[in-house]
Amino acid sequence: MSSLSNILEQGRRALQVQQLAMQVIGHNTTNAGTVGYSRRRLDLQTAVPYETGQWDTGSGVDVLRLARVRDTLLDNQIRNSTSVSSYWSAREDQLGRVEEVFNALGDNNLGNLLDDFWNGWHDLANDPESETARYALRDRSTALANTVKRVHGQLEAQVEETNGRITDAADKMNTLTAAIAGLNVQIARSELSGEEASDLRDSRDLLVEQLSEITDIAVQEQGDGSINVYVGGQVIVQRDLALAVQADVATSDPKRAVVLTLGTSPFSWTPTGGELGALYEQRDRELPDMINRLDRFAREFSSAVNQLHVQGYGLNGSHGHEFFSADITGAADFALSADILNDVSFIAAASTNDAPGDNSLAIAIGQLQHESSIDGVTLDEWLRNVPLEAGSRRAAAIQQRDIEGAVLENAANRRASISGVNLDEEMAKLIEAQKAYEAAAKIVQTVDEMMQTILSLK
Amino acid sequence: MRIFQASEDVTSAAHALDARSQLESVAQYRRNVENGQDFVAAADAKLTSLVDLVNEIDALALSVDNDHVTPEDRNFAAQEMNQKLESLLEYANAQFGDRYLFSGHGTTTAPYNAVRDTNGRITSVEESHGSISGQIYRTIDENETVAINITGTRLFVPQGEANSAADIFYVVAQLRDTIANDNTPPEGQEGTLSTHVLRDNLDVIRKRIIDQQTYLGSLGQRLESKLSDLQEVEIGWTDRLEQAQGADTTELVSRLATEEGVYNALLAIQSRILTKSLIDYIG
Repeated sequence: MSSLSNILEQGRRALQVQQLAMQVIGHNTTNAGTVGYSRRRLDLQTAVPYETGQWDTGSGVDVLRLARVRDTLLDNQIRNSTSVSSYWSAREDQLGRVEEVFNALGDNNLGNLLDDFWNGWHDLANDPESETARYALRDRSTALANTVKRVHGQLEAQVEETNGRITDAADKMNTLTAAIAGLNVQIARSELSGEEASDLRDSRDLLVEQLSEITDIAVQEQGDGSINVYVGGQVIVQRDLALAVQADVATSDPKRAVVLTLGTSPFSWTPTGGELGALYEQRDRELPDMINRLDRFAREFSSAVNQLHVQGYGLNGSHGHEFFSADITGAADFALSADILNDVSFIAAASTNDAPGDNSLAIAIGQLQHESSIDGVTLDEWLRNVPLEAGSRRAAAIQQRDIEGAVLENAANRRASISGVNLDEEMAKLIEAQKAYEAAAKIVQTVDEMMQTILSLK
Repeated sequence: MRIFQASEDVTSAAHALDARSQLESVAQYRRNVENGQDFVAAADAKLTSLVDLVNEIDALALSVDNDHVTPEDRNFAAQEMNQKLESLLEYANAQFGDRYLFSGHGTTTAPYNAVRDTNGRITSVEESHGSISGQIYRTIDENETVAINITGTRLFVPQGEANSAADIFYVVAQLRDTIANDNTPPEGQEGTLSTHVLRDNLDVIRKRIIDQQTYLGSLGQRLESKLSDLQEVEIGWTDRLEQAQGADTTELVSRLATEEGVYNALLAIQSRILTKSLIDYIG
């Protein structure tokens, strides 16, 4: 048989539950704009009924759970998408820097300077007795050599800069993994003692997503609420332990590349995804490829010109002199020979001695434009193709970045629809909670009046 | 739409770079052709004068090759012939700017030196250097070169034939001497140094010179035609460059019209606002 005190208890419990519901609504509403915040949901259940005999009228309401609304599968998908999207964004950014260096469609690009070089030989062929034509040719050749050298130097500098970025990314990774390990401890401790740790979980999820921007990761939640984080199949966060990523300069490497290792592992780690994957790709494949191609151009171009030039005769009767420096190993030492730099009369236009009007050698060198080749393409095409390929790869990276960005955005929108705070919905719930609270208060008031009635009986 | 980076449109960028390079080359070939045309025109003009001179020499020799001419007149004619020989040497050493036209590769040195007797008369003419037969070329298109000079060996003294019937200086000097000797060749050399034999030699030389002049004429036409071709090629590549990289004029004009409309609307709004005073708003 029910008693007034049972009804009073129902009312009290209802007041507490609705108060808690309003508190949850308040928390959701105030965090509607907080990055990484997951909506909280208060699930209620019927309270355990009192043992009252024949008629079980129930004992009111109770809290089943207070949980954050989160789809772990979606989280996993977003982490993967973040990593891929970050990879293509970084690739696009890096290739954009390369394109800026080449400035292929701007003035004074390598192609224009090479055209000027060939035309310089034609001008000399038109005026083989002239010192002025030789000065112009020397200046054009110097401009070409210096620009090839400058572009090469800037690409080398980008390798250095990329090493710096890899180190920065590794530092950032270490900061994030340490913070994730710290949160692991707090979450496990809170949840073990029965406390709610949704805010801590939100913070940790945010950090994990930031980590997935740097490289591709896998996450596995443990029974105590902590997570393990893996890169390349190796665990880097395990409960309270975070494995430091070491960024060291490889002393045996003449290029002094930064090498990453995980913890005390004797083996280097090569990231494949995220920003780090893109930086590795740029440093170890893209930039060396372009640098090598400029080196090869400098060697083969200077060799082709020199091979003809040594056969000719200068205005001063000189013979057997190179036009470009004889010992060019690559773009870094691409330069004119000291003889030509010091005295333009060493520039040969003639194939015979004592023949100032003989322009046959100048013509032959000018024709190298169409005759000399590297791997089946002319020297012009070879040089022109280097920035075009960079542009092509960047265009592909832009496309991939946009596609992956859209995938990520879709996933993020889906998550927002699940985990995000909908203010309209929260307001509706607020009204509902308020009304329920008022109703519970009315029950308490009514029971009080009933008790007064009983107590006033004489 | 103009592109500024290859990544914006790789195909167009490749076409643009190719078109630019082709335009640079075509412009250079045009300069080469024009440069060659100047040289050819100068040589052609000189050859026209040279043919005239040879005709005058022939006419002078003919005028004294009859029995009505007195020894004194022949003496005058011989002196005039000597002047013609001097003129001939000047033509052979003609210059275009600082360059000797018929000096082969030795463009900075006069191709012929006169050997003179004690009276200063030319007895023979020698080549001053060994590269008179050198050809000078111009590149007028990709892998297309053309010789633009006529060498002294093709005009005046064929290689290895100095002081022979093919040597114009020798023939004219002998004509002069035969005429001075009352139109009588040295004894025993009537078959080679008589006036009419020498005139026959001169006729062969004249034909040789005219052949070269004809070559120059056809070369001039070829260069003119090439120049015209290159201009057309240049227009074609300019179009391709504009297609690949040039600004889209229609779009620019359309955008300009839109911007102009917005600007005018803003000006109209501003002018209305400015006519109101603060009191209008307070009231």
